[in-house]
Amino acid sequence: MSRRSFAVIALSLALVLIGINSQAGCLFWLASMLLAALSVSWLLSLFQVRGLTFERRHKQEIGEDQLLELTLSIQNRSRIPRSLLEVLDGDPSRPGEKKPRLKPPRKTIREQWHDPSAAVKPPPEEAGGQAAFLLENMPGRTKIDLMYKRGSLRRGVFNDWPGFFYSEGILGLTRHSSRVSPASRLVVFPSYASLKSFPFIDSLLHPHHTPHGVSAKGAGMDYYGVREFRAGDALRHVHWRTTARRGELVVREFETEVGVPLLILIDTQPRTESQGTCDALDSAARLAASIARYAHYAGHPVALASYKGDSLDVLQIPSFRGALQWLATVEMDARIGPEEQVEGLGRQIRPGSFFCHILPAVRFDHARAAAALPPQSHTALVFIDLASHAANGSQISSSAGGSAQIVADLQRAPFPGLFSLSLYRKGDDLRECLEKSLITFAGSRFRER
Amino acid sequence: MPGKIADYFRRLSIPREVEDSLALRLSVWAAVVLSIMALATQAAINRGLAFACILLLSLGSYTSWRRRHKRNTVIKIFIAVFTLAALASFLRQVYLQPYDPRLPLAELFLWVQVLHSYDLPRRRDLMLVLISSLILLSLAASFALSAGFVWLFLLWLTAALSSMYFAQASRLLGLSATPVRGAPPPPSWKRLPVLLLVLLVMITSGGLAIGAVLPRPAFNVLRTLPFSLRRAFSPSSGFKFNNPGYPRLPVRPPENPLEVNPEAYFGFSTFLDLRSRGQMVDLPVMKVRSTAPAYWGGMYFQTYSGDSWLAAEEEPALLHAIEQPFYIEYGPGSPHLGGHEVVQTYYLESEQPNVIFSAYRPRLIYFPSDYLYQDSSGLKSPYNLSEGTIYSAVSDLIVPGEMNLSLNIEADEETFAPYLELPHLPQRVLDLSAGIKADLPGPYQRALAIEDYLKSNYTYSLDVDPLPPGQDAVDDFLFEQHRGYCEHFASAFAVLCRLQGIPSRVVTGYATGDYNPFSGLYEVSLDDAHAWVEIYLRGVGWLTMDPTPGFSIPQPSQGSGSLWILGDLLRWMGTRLAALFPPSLLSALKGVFHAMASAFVAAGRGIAYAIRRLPWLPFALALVLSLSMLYVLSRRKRRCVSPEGILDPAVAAMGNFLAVLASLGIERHPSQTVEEYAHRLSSLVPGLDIQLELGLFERVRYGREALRLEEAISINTGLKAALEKINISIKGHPG
Repeated sequence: MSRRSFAVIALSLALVLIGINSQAGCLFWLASMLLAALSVSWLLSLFQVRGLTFERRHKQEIGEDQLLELTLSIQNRSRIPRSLLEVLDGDPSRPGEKKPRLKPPRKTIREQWHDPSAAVKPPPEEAGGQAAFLLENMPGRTKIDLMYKRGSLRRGVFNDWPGFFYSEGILGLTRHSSRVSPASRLVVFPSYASLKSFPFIDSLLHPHHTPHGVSAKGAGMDYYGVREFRAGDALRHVHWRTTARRGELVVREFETEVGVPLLILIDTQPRTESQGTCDALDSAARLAASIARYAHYAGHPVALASYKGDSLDVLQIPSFRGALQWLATVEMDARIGPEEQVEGLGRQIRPGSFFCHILPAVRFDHARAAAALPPQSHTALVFIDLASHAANGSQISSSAGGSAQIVADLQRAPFPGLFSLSLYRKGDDLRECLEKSLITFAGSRFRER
Repeated sequence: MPGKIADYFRRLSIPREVEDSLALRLSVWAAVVLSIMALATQAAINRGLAFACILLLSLGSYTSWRRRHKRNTVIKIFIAVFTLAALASFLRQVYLQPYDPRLPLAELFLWVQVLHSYDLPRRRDLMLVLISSLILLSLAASFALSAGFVWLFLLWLTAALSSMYFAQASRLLGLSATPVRGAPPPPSWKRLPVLLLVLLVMITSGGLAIGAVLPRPAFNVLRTLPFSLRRAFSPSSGFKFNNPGYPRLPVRPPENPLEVNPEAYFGFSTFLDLRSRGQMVDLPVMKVRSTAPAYWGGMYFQTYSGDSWLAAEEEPALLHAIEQPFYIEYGPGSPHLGGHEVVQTYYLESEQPNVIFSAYRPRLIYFPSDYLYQDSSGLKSPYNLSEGTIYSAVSDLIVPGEMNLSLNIEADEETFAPYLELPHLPQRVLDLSAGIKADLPGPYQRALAIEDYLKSNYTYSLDVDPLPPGQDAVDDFLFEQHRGYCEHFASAFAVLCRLQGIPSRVVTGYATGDYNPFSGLYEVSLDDAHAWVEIYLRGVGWLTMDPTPGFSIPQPSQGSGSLWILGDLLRWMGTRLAALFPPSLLSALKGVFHAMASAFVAAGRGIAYAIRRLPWLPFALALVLSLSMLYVLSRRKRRCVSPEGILDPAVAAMGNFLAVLASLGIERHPSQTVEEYAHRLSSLVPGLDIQLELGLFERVRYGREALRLEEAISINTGLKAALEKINISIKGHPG
């Protein structure tokens, strides 16, 4: 029932009362017709949303900064045509939505007044809301494909998010909706910056600081030797000159390049003091993706780690895509603090390797965390400013000082092995934040035991 | 600061959410025009004004369409000024004519509609206009006196439905995105009439169904009832009875029988000539809006002269009311126990004598005059009631069923001596009176016995021989003719009552008429002219009785006075349908229905008799019925539920198996047995064998056996394995 239906009921009652008062039979019939129109509208809107099927087709994986193309296949299984039927496709990041939201959020008079640009806001499907399409006319036994693009996708793995059929009848007096959950799976990767440099890794890759990896035959770039062709070898690896000399297929062998291992730990402990922790985790995932990408293509073995509850989840990334997939699934569900998380890493960090800790800018026991790190390891701390990730803009200015204070304290008294400090505020350029660390400590001060 | 304020107002006046749908604007315009036409057809506004309003409205709608994106500040100011003027006019009219505010209200809404039409930028404005048009239509409906209004209403409904459809389409389009690809075509104009027709049929039939059961409690809270504009009258000229159908009517019966004018009833006179013979034509006389059905009495005759009834010879009292209504007072010797208030409004459709018709007995009269006359023969108007006259009355009806009338109280003979007087009557009339259960104790019982006697032994007929000169009309009817029309029955009844010592008088007026459930009015025609009797019961008052066969005094609980209109609607439809069939077929159908009704009545009586004789029979029948139902229900329950009341695991496993296969598109047809279905599966998936599981399932499902644990596990694992096989066969993996 809508406000309009209550208006019709009120009008009918008024007519009945006047009819009783004046004994005018026509008024009773007029009231009856209004009530009948309401009943018919109710029945029609109920019928409109029944007997329909909803299918959704789209790419399975996408980056959060990309537009996802979706195709909705709507089928009318009955012979009776539908009119003014709304098809709504839910936001994948809100799988629990129960009701269709056709109306855009109402603007206050002040907003209408002072925000002339309000009219050019992106449509809901691109701003992260339900996409609504009107089927003015859908003949019986037909199938209609609706294609649209969805933006503002949030990092994560989303399954079977809902779609809705919504009808207000033909007269708009009553409304009915039906919720459908078509089988869908979507992995939204975090966005990342293509770093040209990352001082933490670049500066420390001085020869005398670099622990040499073990050479092995692998898929590196350095030429190692030749051997006879085996099934499965790529043709581009054929060494034609030797092949010609020997009269049999000979392929080149490459040396596996083993760089300094890098472990990136993402702090996934929920913070109650700020509403923006989910956004903060998304930012952390973006930072981690950017660092992992740089390190991976620089030839460093990269591992990603986070806590799920009390247990540690570590992924030695096989490929950058694998890293993105893993980062899409990271959720805010650690039950231990940053220092305990570092302690829990234990032997995962090898001596002399890189350790990058991405965490919200909150105070924690640096000394205890540093003590848990192996000797000769290098640490980079990337802080996420929680205040700027909170929804309320006024908090940014008041709390930004808190993040800055934490950074300043660490600058004054860095723990051994700390190499760089970065602070990421919402809206900052990822690349700039990582390429130009806030503080880079001159030289590496290995922890001496 | 003033600049900011000016800017504020400048921005405020910019129209937002402008409605661009021309179809919506056109359909709303049509709805408003139709509602104005409805008002004009019901004479609520004059046609010239309606025409001017439609012209102005059309111009306004066009202006509004052309200037929908503009600020229209000047137009807004004009609208505000003229609306205030219309409001002032409305208040003035209500002050001057406080009795019925509907006409001023109609005019106010009309002007508001016209003015508003010049500035309708948004959809919301258009919808408000649609609601206003509904109010105009409702006002017209309150004036409607015929079912013909329905056609205008249906036209308005078509326009209103179109408006709502276009408004909804426009609104939803505004809230929806346009898909990149695959937007279906909008509905074509060709489809719209079909859609509208379907909607109209659904809403009309639904409306009829709802209207048939819509409660219509018969009470009236409005104390100012409608009456037409007052006519000036000078009481100095005195009262003179006048019947337009009989211009030269004498005060007393002429020597020769009165020649009947078929277009005017001869009973509205100072005498009722029982020698007259003739038949009335079916001419509409008036429409009555009433909270209950009743006889609309006009003239009350006191003296029986042997061939006529005469009104009392007395000078009528002049009633004067500076403000409406007239409070009708009766003498102290005229008690009245009427407790059922009936509010009536009379809309005259042809010129009538200067008699004021009302249900007995009127308490309040709203009449378009400052003067009325009253005597024992009823209420009289100072002038003839012309076509279009409207007046109202509030009466208090005596409902015999609601009070104890079996009192053994005789009337005070002295006070009511004129109503007991009789001329010399033949002896056989006196003998007949004595023979009709004169020994019954109470006057009401004796009157009922006489009524029953007349209804049972005499035939109603309009074909009666002329009354021989010098013969008593009642004697001739009772012993010679044995048939007659209402005047004869009423006269015989009144005379026999007087012979039994019951004061009585003959009343002429109109019977209730046909109730039109659509307009809510009783449609009275000239052939509804009728004569009946009132008897006086001491302590009760004048009680209406009708001895004519085929007529009965309507009870307030009947007809439109009842809560539901369904009966009236069916009756009305039956009357209309009956006119379509030839009389022979109709009588045959009547015979069939009567036979069926008689059979039902006989069966009912038989059951009642059986219950009286065997009081335990209903309980025994109820017990047998309950036990049978319990047995059937328990059988049904046992078929699908295990003895422990839980769905058996084997049944559940098979159910799941079938459901999964249905989701894979291998659905079991309802007519297939599970075994047939298993054969089909075997043909689809070579090597599939579920015979063992099937056997176990059948044992549980149909043999109602309990499975052992290992058997239950076996059916589960067997069906799972079968599913995997089917999945591999269809999808290529176990699923």
